[in-house]
Amino acid sequence: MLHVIDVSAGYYGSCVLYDINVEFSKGLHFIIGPNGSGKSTLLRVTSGILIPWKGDVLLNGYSIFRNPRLKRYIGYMPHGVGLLPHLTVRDNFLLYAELVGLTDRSFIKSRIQELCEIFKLWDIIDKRVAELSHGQRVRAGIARTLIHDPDVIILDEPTSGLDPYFAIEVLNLLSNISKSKVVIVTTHSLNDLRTCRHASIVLLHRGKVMFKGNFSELVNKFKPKRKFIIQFRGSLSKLYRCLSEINLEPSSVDENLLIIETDQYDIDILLLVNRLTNCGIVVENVREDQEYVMHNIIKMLISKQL
Amino acid sequence: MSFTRLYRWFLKRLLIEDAHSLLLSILISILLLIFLSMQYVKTISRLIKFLGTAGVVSNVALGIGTLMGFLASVAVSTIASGMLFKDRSSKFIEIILAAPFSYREYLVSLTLSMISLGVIINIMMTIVYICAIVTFSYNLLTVMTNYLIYIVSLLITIITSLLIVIVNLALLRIVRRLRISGLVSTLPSIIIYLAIIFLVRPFHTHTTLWPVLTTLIISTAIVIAVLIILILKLIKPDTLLT
Repeated sequence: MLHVIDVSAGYYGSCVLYDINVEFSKGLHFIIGPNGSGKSTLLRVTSGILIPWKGDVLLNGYSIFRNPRLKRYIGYMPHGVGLLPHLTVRDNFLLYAELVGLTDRSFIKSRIQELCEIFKLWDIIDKRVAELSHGQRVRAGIARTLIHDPDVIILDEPTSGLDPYFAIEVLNLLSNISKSKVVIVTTHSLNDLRTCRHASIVLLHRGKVMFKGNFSELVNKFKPKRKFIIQFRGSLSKLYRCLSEINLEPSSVDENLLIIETDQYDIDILLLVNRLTNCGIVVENVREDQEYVMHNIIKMLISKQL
Repeated sequence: MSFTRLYRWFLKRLLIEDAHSLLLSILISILLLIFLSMQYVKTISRLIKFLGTAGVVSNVALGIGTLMGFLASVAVSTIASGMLFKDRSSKFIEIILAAPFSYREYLVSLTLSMISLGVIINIMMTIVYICAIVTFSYNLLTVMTNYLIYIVSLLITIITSLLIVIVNLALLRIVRRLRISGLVSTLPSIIIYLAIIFLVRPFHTHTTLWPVLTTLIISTAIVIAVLIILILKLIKPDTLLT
């Protein structure tokens, strides 16, 4: 159990976090918010990197700042992964293992093998990090974070820049890990939140906690609209009829580009595509604007509608 | 115990990781060696009249030896600043700070490992230098008492290492996004080292060397103490993180 108690923190005298109180128990926790809201700073404080100006972070009741040795139970991955680019993935693992105090060579070796299996690292384990793609780096970065089997895992935007398929794979993996550990993750993506509906969410805005709850509570509280952008071929009358059957209305139709805004959260892209195809509409391209929901929530916060 | 582990970890990294900076240091040293050799060639015939062959050889050895000491301090500063630079640009610094150590342990072990590396290299150079001189007419005792420039060079290495940490970290408080390259960070060590060599040279006789050295050692000790206090008191974690 990790308790963030009354924490205020910042850099160079400028405050970024104000009186944050959050409790992270076993399970998956998302920290969301716009750029500059203090997500990364909160992660840095909870992982013991940044000493808060005020307040404390307790791991099972003990301050991680007064007992820095407790940080061995925390695994942290910064935004940008934090691997040394001129070293191989294996060397990065060994360097980190040594840093966190693992001394048993055979344990380290078997742990690296285990992580290579889980994260499919066999083809890149002896490559220099500079040669890897972003997705490969993220895989290696998360694996490195887990090398000492920490109780608390803190990851700064692990799904950022990943293709949707791999992002879901990462989230499922984190979801599994979170059954026995505390996993704290920052994200910008609505998809991440929807993929892990059971996860708890902390919404930050201008360094303050604006919301704590799960995905459905977030949606119920803010009722933000979603936006689908669809490129299609087919008759407009068919399109309107088809959408009305699932209670959707196009917010704009421009030649072959259809934009739908909705507050329904039980609709996903696959369902939409199937429905349109069944109505004889050819769907050429479809995507959901991930940032739109977050922007809507932030807009509501800024205009103090809530 | 964990401090020792962190210290060893840094020392290992300093020794093996930065071949690029080491090559740069060697290159600078070779250029300086060529420059100094040319100076020696010009004056060698004049010097033989006054000092004899052995005296000239020992002077040449002194020149080479101090140059090697210079290499040591440049190498330490470039490797250390290169490592700091890479750690910060790759955000590995956050990984280090998230490890089970206090911030103070991190800074002290980083600084001490830099100093240790400088001292190790300098001692190796001293041995080469002493061997070169002993081969000729001077005995070991004379070498140790009259050519204590190596003590100075050792102290300079320590100061340089500390200065590099200060320069790298303290400037970041003023200019947040400033990245100091390995090459720029060699400048303080070059300036300090050359200044000391030229300061000591005129007093390099049996009668005046000791007072000069004593003054240098005492002032160096004071500077080191001040720099360590500065590192520990003034540099905050947020300097490294932004």
